[in-house]
Amino acid sequence: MAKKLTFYAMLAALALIFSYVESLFSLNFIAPGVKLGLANCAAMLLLIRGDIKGAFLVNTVRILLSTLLFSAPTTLLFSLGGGLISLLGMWILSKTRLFSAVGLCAAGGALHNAAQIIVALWFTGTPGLIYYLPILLIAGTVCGVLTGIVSFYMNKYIKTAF
Amino acid sequence: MIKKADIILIAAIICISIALFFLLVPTNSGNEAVIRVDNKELYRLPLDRDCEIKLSGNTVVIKDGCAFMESADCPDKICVNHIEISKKGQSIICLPNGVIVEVE
Repeated sequence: MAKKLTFYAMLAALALIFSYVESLFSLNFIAPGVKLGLANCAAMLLLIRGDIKGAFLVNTVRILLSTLLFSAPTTLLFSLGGGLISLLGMWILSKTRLFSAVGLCAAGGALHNAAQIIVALWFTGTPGLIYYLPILLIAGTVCGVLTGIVSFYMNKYIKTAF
Repeated sequence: MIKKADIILIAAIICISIALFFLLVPTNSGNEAVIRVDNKELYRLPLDRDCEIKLSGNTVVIKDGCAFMESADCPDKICVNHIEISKKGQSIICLPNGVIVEVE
């Protein structure tokens, strides 16, 4: 248990570093708030290895901390909504055993952005936001493929003794 | 690393996105910029008259038929980096300050 907890903590720390690096450069020219989503690699690694509880734990900790450190508290709802719904979707898709990390992450990225738009529609009551949906779906899929490839190699090279 | 199902899934998402894009793209020019703070409508400004509105943390500018966020004191500056808006339904949102600028 102690080894596992340490591993989770290390992954959460790694995810936080990814979050920080992502906050340094903006992809806002694509659509407001677009990010690579590299921070999700930590949770992806646990998901690939079938540890869904750990994935949710690491991702929730990462989102809470990165929002407090690098963003405004009002954006917490958006980050949590996107992060948890995409992880839930990826978990369900992983149960089919049809998809690799790349496919899972691509779907996760698209789901993440779709969920954020839904939270934004509900939160701001601005129907015009739906215009962002197609561009955000494509951005989420492309970024998801990239994070999927990173997760694949993380899974290959990070060894654990438990 | 990549399976056949992955490619089908990714292609499906991209196809749906492109279809949605053509269904949803805003084309009609709007007449007014509506500024709301915390879901309360504060200003309704015609787009054909240039002006500058100072809110507590944000400055909204209307110039040459377009509205944009001139400055904001929020940490992420997503609203300031947003392109100017002029089509019906387009919006600029500053989440940290609860400011919404929407073209109607």
